[in-house]
Amino acid sequence: MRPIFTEDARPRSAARFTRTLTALIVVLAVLCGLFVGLGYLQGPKLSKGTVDTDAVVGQSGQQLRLFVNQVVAPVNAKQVTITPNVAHKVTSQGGLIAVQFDARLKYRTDYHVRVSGVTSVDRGTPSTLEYSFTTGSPNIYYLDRGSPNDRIMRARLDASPPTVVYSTRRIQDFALLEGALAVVTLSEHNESSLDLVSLSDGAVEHVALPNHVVIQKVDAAAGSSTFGFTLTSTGDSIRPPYSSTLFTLDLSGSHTIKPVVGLNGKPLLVLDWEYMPDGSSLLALTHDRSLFMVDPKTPGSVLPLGQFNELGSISRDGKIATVSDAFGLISLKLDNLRQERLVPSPFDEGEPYLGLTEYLPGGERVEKLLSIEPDGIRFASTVALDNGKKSQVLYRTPNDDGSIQNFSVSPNGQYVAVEVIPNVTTSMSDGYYYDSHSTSTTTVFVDIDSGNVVKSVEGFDLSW
Amino acid sequence: MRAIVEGSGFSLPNQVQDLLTLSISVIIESLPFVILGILLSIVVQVWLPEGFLMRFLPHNGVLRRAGISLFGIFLPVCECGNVPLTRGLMVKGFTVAESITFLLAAPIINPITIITTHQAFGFDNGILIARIVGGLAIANIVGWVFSLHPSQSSLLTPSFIAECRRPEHPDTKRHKSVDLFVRESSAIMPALFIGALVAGAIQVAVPRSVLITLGSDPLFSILAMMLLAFVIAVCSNVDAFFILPFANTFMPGSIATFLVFGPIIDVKMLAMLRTTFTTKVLVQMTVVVALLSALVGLVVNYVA
Repeated sequence: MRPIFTEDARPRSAARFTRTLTALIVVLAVLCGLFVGLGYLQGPKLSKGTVDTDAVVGQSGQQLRLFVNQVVAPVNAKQVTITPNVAHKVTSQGGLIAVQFDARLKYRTDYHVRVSGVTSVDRGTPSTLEYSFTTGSPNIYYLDRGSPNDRIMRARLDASPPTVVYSTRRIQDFALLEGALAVVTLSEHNESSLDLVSLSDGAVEHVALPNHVVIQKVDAAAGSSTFGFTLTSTGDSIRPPYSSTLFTLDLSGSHTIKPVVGLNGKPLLVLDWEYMPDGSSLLALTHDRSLFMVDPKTPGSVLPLGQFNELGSISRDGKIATVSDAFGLISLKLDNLRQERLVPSPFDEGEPYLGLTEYLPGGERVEKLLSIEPDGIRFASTVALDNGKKSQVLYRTPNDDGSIQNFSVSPNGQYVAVEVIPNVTTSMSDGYYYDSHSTSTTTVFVDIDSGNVVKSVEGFDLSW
Repeated sequence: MRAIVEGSGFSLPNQVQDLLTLSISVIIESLPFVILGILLSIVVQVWLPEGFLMRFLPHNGVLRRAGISLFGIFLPVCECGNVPLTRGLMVKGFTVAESITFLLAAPIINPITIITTHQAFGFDNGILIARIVGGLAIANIVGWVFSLHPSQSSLLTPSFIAECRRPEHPDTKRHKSVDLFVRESSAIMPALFIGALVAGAIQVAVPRSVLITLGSDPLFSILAMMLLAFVIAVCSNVDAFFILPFANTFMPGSIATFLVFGPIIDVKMLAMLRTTFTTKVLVQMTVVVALLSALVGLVVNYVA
């Protein structure tokens, strides 16, 4: 006989089994009822929240997504409070509540989001959902020239040390793209070459250019895969093929350069140009001093904006450009082309001359001001915050020994990166034929609210 | 099937086509595991030395069942494959209660099920932990209850008892294996086909949208998921991916309930278990498992 299933040897009674089974069922039913009641009293609960803590600093329109453990009734913006306060929109669908930040958030700041009166679709017990997060400190990139190689560095606005992203001889300029760097290098004959460097694996791809050209005025919109630059033929030809001719290159396309064409269908020859912050179009100031808004991807999309001498900066919201004519700086509203002459607000240091100006998201301006020193000979350069009533110093070099070269406001308007030569008397040029800088050029990061210097790095050409 | 129908110029109504598609998909999904289960059952009954499995188990009933409930970690077989394996364990000398413990726990804690559940949900909302801990708890509690039954043999169908009492043919292990494969297949396969057909028919008859509308209610979401698990009869190795799209609509506790209830009780499993256990046992088991599964889901909803 083969073995069969085992009967338990201990004596059992059928009644005990039935009693135990019944008791178990009753206990389980009571426990289920208890937790059902608790569940109804509890209301919706937050399962998890997701937010890109770096992207919220760099771009507006980013979302905090709150996942609730059940389908909830529609939530509106009034139910959501954010500390510190940020303008926001709210949408909800199913068990997801999406809070969209209208503005960029501040670096390294704790945010607390509270959603009150959240109910399930059947309008049960309301509950309050709370979520906190700390914004990041996204990478910044800059160029540090040295010997034997120049280096493109990556850093953060915290105490962490910078790291080398790419290193090679004679880097003239670079642009930060989505996942890559466009790096322009100068040959011994002062001709440019262009390479694309992957930020993930460091792979280098050489971009074919026409012979004997120099690249200048490289620019890219934040987080974009497209960048642009001007090409100028070297040599002494009377009719050079390229003369500050504007080109773009799209990494998502064929990786070949394409000219930006104007109203006449011919490539634009520009004095200056700049991408709009969202990268959708660009402003180009042509050789005949006409300012155009051009969408390089849409043939014929060329909008004349007026005649100006110089193109300054574009506000981060893309609404205002600063330009200049023979009489000084002008703010140009890009939606209705209204112009307003810019003058600095009263400044404690005297009557300054207004230089580079950049609008902050709230309408204030960061300005470079030049004042004549009491000796009547030297100029002192200052970066100031102008709130429309008064200009106050954000940064000046110690003892006014240095010179402010350039500045750039962070995408969220929290910091200004000031490119300075700390001491002009000891400054030495790096000797580059194009885009030369002082060997001592330093970039100083200033908190616009407090005026405190939060970091400084040796280098220039900052990309946020 | 579609080719035959199209070739003949005869068109089946959409509902019949859906019924056939759903039923065949359940069979195709289950068949490899049923065969693997039968093969493992043959290994246990014919090839393992006498008393091999018993050797490593404690004598205390609770600890012994706890050990048996962990067997599934080493057996990548879903619930349908465990039915023949469970029959094999009983033939090999396990009590009915011990075999039930194995039967209920194995499909949930088998390695493929754990990996796919982790792939689908990670550690979100404690769903994975609830599934493993809940599955082991249910198996051991149900095993404990049935261990109290005075007559273990009365829990089994007369046909299975007769099968167990069949005299052994003095034959080689190879012949015994073939004979066992034929007999187990004849017992299990019809049940699998009938169960798959019923599962397909119910899915055609009950619109899924009816279940989804219940997803946000703490109680009805759990009941809806238990009903869905019962009807859909999807294999435990892939059920996490099946239910993943529902995770945004249904409360996490109801997802956990689906993942512990479905591998133990569904129409296909009941059809297959009916080859071995009496209807009364299946009703008692279903009630206890349903309450325990609901409790797991309700606790997850409250805590997570």
